[in-house]
Amino acid sequence: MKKAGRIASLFCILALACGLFAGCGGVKDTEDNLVIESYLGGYGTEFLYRLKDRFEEIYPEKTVQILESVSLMDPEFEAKIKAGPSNNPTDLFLGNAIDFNSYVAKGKQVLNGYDNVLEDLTDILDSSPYGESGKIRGKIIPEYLDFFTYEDGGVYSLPWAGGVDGLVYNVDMFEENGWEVPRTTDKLAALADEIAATPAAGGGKYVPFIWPGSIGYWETVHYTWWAQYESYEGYLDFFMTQTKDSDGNYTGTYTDAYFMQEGRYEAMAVLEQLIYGSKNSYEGSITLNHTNAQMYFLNTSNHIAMMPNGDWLENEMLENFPLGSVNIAIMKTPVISAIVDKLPKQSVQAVAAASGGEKTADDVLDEVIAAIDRGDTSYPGIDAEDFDYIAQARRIVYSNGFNHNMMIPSYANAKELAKDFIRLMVSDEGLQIFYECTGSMLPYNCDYYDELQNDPSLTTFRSSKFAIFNDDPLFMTRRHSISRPWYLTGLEPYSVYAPESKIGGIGTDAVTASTFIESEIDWVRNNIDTYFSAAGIQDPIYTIM
Amino acid sequence: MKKIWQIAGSLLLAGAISLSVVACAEDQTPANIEYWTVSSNEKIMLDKEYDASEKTEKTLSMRGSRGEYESAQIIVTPDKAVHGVDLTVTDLKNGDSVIPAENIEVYYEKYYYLDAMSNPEYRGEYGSYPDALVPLDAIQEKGEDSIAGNNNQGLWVTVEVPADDELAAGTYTGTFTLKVEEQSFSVPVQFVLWDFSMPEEAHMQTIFNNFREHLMNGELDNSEEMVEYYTDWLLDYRISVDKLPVFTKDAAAVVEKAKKYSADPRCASYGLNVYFYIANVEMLDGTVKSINETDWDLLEEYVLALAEASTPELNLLEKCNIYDQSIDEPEGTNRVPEANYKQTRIDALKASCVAQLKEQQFDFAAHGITEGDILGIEYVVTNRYAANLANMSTYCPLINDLNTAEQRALYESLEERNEYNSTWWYVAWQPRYPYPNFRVEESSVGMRTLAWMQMDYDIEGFLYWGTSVYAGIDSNTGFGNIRDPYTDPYPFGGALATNDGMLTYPGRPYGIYGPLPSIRLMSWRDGAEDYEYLWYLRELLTDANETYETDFDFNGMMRSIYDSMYSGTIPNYSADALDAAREEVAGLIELLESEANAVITIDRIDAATNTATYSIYASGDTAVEVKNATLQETKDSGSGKLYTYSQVMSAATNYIEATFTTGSVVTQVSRYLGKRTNAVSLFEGSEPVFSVSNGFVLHPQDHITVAKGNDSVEGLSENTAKITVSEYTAGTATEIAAYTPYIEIPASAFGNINGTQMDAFGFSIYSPENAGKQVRLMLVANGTTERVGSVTLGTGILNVQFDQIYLTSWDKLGSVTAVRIVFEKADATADTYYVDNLFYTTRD
Repeated sequence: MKKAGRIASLFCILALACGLFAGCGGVKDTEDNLVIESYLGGYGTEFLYRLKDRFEEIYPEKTVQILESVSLMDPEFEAKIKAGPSNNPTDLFLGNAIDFNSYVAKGKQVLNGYDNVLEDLTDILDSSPYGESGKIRGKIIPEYLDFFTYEDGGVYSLPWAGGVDGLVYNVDMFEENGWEVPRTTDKLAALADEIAATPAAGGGKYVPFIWPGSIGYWETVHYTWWAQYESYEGYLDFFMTQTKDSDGNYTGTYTDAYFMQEGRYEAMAVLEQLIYGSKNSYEGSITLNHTNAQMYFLNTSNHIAMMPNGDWLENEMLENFPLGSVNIAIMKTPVISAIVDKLPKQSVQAVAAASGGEKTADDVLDEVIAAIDRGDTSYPGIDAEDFDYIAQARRIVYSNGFNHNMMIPSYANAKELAKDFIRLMVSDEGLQIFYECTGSMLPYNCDYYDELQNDPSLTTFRSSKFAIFNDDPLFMTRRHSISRPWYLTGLEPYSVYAPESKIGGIGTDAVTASTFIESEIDWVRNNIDTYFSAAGIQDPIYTIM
Repeated sequence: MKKIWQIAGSLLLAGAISLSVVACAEDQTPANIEYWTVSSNEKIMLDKEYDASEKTEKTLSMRGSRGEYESAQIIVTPDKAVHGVDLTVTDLKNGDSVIPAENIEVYYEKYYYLDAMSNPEYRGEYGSYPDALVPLDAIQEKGEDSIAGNNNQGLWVTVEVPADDELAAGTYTGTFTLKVEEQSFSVPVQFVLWDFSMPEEAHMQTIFNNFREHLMNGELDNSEEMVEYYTDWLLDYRISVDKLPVFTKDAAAVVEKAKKYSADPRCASYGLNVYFYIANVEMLDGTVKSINETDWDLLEEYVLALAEASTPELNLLEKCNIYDQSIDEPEGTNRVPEANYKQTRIDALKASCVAQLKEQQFDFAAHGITEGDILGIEYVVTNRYAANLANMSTYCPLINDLNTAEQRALYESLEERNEYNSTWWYVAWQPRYPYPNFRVEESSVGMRTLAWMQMDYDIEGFLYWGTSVYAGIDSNTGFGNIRDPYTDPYPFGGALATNDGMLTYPGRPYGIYGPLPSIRLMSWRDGAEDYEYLWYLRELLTDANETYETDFDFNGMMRSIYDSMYSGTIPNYSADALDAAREEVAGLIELLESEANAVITIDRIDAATNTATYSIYASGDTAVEVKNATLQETKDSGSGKLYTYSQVMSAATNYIEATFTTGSVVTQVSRYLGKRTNAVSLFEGSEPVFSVSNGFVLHPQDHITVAKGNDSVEGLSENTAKITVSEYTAGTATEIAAYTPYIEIPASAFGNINGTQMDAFGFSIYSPENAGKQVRLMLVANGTTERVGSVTLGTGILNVQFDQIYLTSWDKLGSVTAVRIVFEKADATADTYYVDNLFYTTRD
């Protein structure tokens, strides 16, 4: 799947499959014709056409027109939404990485005459999915609802994807070589070393990882590690960027202090452990784009064991690798070993120490995680608070779904049709259509997903996704655009989009986690006030000085 | 329901408005008319109400050098609609010297109403911004010289100072007559001419695309003549376009045009024409791709032809570059392999050209060229460095990709890989504020500052993707949407970037052949002319170093000037700072250009005794006299002389009043020295008045210790602060990374003066074992900081002075609570710094 990129010249715009005003020559902009414009990426748009057929069946007097864009991200979306009702016929946008809250915050500044260019979708949440009786608000996964709720309580965007991302591995390769799926990052690092030393059939050795250097796919795990270390709430604190009072409530005073979260360093330290200087990596990884990297990974003759990726992988590569032709799975993201230092009661170290050297802290951690995976609610010698901390860490799952944003322009002609379309999309029927076309899930609970998990015809990849999805995950992402500095200014958690391009750099280009974080802190020191100022934040507290 | 009154785009407001004409007819009393003047660096909105305090200046003032264009504005605000505006200009005189009226052009500013911003974070004001500049007489002919009531109509006045070395320096004055309907106003005009000339040759290389096809929408004429007319016209604005105006592939035609532009001193660079064809080509990784293959054979033919046609009098290669637009911005696209492939091909092509010529026993010297002229033809790729684009010879990143010292160091290292490598940079619709760009609503100061940054960071050239993109851009076809460039500033539809790619306006609607300028184009030229000032100063200093056997460091001398205007590639958008910087540079040039060929360097200001020590270098046959100063020493310096003076800064504001007599030529100089200093004692008794810190407030500040004393270092007082900075290892890894040791002197030590009143801040610092390390000066207000500048330590005592603190563009300047001196973090060996002689001066 392509990530958000920058379009900066006439020539890039020339390369678009669809124009800024695609369909102005043949789009019917009426109340009875729903115009949907969708990002064309890893999930494709087949699901939209199936939904369209179903929608027109349900509403025979209405029609649906679908437009596609390979670049429906913020710059293009901004141009289109600002074009206004005269020039923008689209009633429903399915975009990628849109900072939807920024449009709400900017209000009239976006389009003169409109307090808000985005329609409040609260009424959708308070209504039922098509053909169902419950409310959509009760169906959507809570973390997604929190993410998509604006500070005024309104909801101006809803997700149209909800994938499970993480470290994908070659199941057959693991089984043939007796490699166990690791539960901690230290175990993952040890496994990587083992893989790198294992001769492969036909000559050469196995390769632990492949990853595209310019597209930050390691984000599917390193943000997870950060959140595991700091706790889910601690990770969200970073994005709320506000101080807390003694009751733990956000005060509305912004601060740069969260950039000092140790979880950021620890996550980078894991990356350093795994791929510093591009070790353990397919040769030339850092120069690859995502498609090439995926091709090489799925070509088993390359003997590549793992790749950070997401739930679009199988679907995106169908043309070259038919469904099920390669036995891959997403593993539950290993828990960051450094978490033992962060536990409230430090009981993992205590248990390790009590073993008289037989077990390391990571061994104990590993056992605790195994217990959690079995469904146990405690572990001998481990404090309950520590156990819960680890259990929560085990639940945290990175998802690209937060970056897939549905929005309805407030001036759209066919607003009500758009809302009805969403109601269909999030119904069990719609979720099934989406799955059948993409092999993926949307972030809405449904019985269909529970049934699917037990479907023996599922590929191991799909089965692994559902195993994670149905196991009470805690979803998170890298752009929790939940507060002003993030959705108003384009601020990113790191100044470098893909930290792996630094830590995994070749030769003298490689930087250690420590050096990377040092440069990040310096960046904050020199730049964060600009972002705070651009977000209209008054009197922030600076601790990095 | 749609809002039927919504207008996407803008309204033409500078033309006749029938409603106001009707109003005029009904009310016969004359309008009450205000006029005021502003500099060319400001954009006055048509429909904004300005405070009376902003409208007090009545004199049209400009400053510049011979051979330069300088502009200023008269703003006319009637209280009701008027029709009929005129400005009569006169000669500007300074005794017998004249800047003739025929060198003065008056333009009528035209406006766009912007109801959506390219970047709402930059300014939230909707309204009418000036951009197009149409000659006043053309406006009058069309009857468009009407002003609606309470609108602010700008008249843009540009003076072309003759490039006549005989034109005397000094103040030129005149009186223009502004006439609005029947009312007349005398507008005093003042032009301060500095005593030097702009270099005749242009040095700021550019590639600005001049799309032939886009001219049609504006001019209804994209003939070869029109294209070449635009190419030549833009040279007056210091813009070289992307390719020669050649319309045949014939190498002889290319050579002929190359001769024209190589010989034209206005042209700093020219682009070689590149042709493409679709072909399946094997990439470097062995895959075969269908690409827009460059016609390498033709390119090679051109290079060889240019080499053969070069002469010692006219080198046709040294200005030549290549911008292969088929690999524009390849990163993140499927053109990355193509870019890598083409870089390899161009390298091979150039090497092949050299090899062929050598084989033919081509006499390079006889043709006035070297192999390096061929190998050094820049192949500009609009991309930053990327791991998968690692071997470009000329990267051209966006300007924000050179914002940090680390980023600039990267490009310096890339240049060092090969003597012919270079770095260009560009803007397009990215980046956005706070970085400067070319949009209608953005600051002229920002655009102009680009040129200063370009000199500072040794960037070879500047690229911009369009100059006259009159058509709209339809993403299906690439171009073709009809729009009126005078009324619609959104070429891409929506507010993606106001007038991105368009710096000119078509003259056709006004019966004028060729383009008309915009305010943005004028700002570009102003910046490019500033660049020539800097280039010239650098040349003069280089010569002075030879003369005096010194090592004046241009960048070192300029550092405080640069720091007053920007940090990284983010300007502070202060017009005052820009003007002050320009004036200082002009003063340095004047002094070097005088018969005395003088350089004045301020060596040290001793706050305790309020005494300045400075050096004057002057030519050997020049007698130097300085008022109110004591000559300490005179000695030979190269073929000149060095005079060292000390002067007590007894007045509130002190000057070096020097007279240089060289034969019969007497040059008098009054050079600003500084304000009376206020010494700041670092100790009260034995206790320091300052605090120390690790760089984050939440942890013990115990890695910096302070003692009083100079350890017998000569030149330091007993009140020296000896600061020892140790390594920090105790915290978390993040804290260790964040460790930033500094000392912080509270405002109370500075008499609690307001930051807006602080002029200079200085101190002496000695740390010989840390030579090469940087020390930064920051202002502090309410826990946030603003960087003032930095210095690099040497092995001796470094006397540091940061000037014009009050010009720091920071909204918290008025509430500064402290000044901070920031050190680099220490490693296992503790660093020792001696800080002494702290002082400040105030504006009054």
